[in-house]
Amino acid sequence: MSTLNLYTRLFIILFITLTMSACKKDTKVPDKVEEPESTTSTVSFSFIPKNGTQALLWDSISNTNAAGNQFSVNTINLYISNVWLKHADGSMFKSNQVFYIDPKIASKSSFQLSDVPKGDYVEIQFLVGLDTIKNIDNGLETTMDNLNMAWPTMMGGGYHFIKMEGHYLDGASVSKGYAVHLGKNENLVQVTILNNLSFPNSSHQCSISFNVNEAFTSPYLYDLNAEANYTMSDSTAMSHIKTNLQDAFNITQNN
Amino acid sequence: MRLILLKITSVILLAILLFNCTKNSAEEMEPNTATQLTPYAVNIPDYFPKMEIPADNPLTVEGISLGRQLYYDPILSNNGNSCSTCHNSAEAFSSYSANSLPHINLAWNSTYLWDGHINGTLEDIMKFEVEDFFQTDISKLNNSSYYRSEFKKVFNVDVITHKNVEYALAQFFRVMVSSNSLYDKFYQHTANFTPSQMNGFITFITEKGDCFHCHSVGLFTDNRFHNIGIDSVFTGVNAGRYNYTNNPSDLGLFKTPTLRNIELTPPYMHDGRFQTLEEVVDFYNSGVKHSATLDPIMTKGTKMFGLGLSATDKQDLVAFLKTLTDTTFTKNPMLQQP
Ligand code: HEC
Ligand code: HEC
Repeated sequence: MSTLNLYTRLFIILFITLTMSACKKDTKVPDKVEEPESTTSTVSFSFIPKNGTQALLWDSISNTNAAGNQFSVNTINLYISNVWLKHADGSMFKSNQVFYIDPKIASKSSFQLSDVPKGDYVEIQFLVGLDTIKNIDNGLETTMDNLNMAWPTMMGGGYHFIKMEGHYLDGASVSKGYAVHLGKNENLVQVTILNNLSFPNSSHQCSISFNVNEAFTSPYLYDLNAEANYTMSDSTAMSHIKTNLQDAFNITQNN
Repeated sequence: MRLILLKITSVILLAILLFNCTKNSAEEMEPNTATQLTPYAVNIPDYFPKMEIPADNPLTVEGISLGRQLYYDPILSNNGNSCSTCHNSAEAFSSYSANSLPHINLAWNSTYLWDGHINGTLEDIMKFEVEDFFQTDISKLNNSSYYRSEFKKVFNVDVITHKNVEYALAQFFRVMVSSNSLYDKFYQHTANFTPSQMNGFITFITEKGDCFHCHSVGLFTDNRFHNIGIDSVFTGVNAGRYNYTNNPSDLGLFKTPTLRNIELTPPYMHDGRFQTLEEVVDFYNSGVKHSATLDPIMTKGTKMFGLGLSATDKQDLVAFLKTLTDTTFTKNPMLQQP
């Protein structure tokens, strides 16, 4: 190999390096231009509390349940987890993600599933709460919200599945507080909604509505003046609320 | 001839290549400044949430140390006060005479002051403290050659700004972490509670006392606002968060304070109306007053407006509250007057 050859080679190598790649950091070649079309869709779900068919008016004793209690809602905190979507042929898309929802705070009032296979679905299922694997002390990442949802070890451990709190007027029209708290595996709420959902595009938007009156309505008529207005250590009260919550949710597709 | 040309071109190309790359890596080094700063990682137990640190104010040993000097230096005020005048280490960085809020684990807060009228990060509350509350005269700091060189070292600035002061203080606040009380050792199974402390803990963490719904275990606050019923008529400062939001449903709501080091931070409540923890527990047991905004958690079934605790239960609850005292925090050399 001659000297000339060496320098020619060096020149060529350097020239190529410089023109082709230069420094890696500088080359911001868009790398997603010609990707094959994705087979999944990002579906976002907004959580919308309702008073019957109307939007819920927070902090105001303006709701009436089937037992005739006038009540307000100050707080709704809950977990929605394990969202499953069923195709007509029975096959399912199963997510095991957990979403903490606080509909009073805009940034916490919705969640997204980013890997939903495109297509048509006939049913959606989700848990209000956490499955048994996650519903243990420190089963979730330590965040302020998760700390606030902790269910004391001495009362069974894990997390609150849902907290709904507010005031109601008792027989003498005095306002009292109620705190509907569900926790413990036996009170996990399995929601199943038959509804056609169609996700052909890369992104879609749905609303999950929660009719707060339903928590007190059917199948158990729940009179706050007669039943526990504070459910945490009352297993009967919790099982009634759990059953009532199973049909308190609805889903609509917005686009 | 051709050989020389090739040689030269190659060398030039090589130089360009190298120069480009070095320039880039130099850019990556930013915001590291002229002098080399030592990154600092705070030791946080896994039962605390992750600490969020703004990207533009990374923790450094030098920044924390500067924040500490400022905390103890009356140069920030126009009346001889320093932060430490009303936030004294032995009282968990609060002060009996000023009835100030303590500085404990504020890195996990997102709303500050009793009515929560400052929102955001520690940098945001420091902006309020320095610019609004202290109205710091920044020229005093700029006239000090000592501070000029300290700020140059930490922030690489020739002229000190309010923002630099606030950022240094925010760094200092991020190391004011209390997580080594008897309670923490109990939680980590390295110490035991006495029967009395244990009974108090059970009252705290079950519906019997039902303290945990607001003073959430871990940080012992939920970082939210509640009306716990110390008043039923709300005027002046007792209107609480309403004074900031003007929302009638916020009448009488206050930020839940942390109960860590509560033994060291009397008097209690936003207006310091209770002198002792016994008085506080008596209030929760039988003194809660009714009003439209009273927190639902405070009004329960048969125990409406009262917990029905026995004298022993009350003593035990106080004994538990005292397990939250952490003298390794109040005596932490890193937090003392330099
Ligand atoms: C004259 C006494 C006094 C001085 C000096 C003082 N503070 Fe305070 N500080 C208070 C009081 C009183 C409160 C509670 C006020 C309120 O919430 O309305 C407070 C509250 C705070 C809070 C809010 C804590 C929380 O839990 O929300 C922070 C942060 C704080 N001070 C930082 C500082 C800093 C930084 C300095 C020095 C620049 C300082 N303080 C100087 C009296 C003082
Ligand atoms: C509904 C929420 C809530 C519950 C339940 C609750 N607290 Fe509080 N706590 C607060 C708030 C809010 C304050 C501040 C109120 C004020 O200053 O007006 C406070 C203040 C305190 C203080 C004084 C703190 C200080 O720094 O001045 C102590 C001590 C205390 N609580 C202990 C308890 C105990 C013990 C229990 C259970 C028996 C309990 N709390 C239940 C929300 C709550």
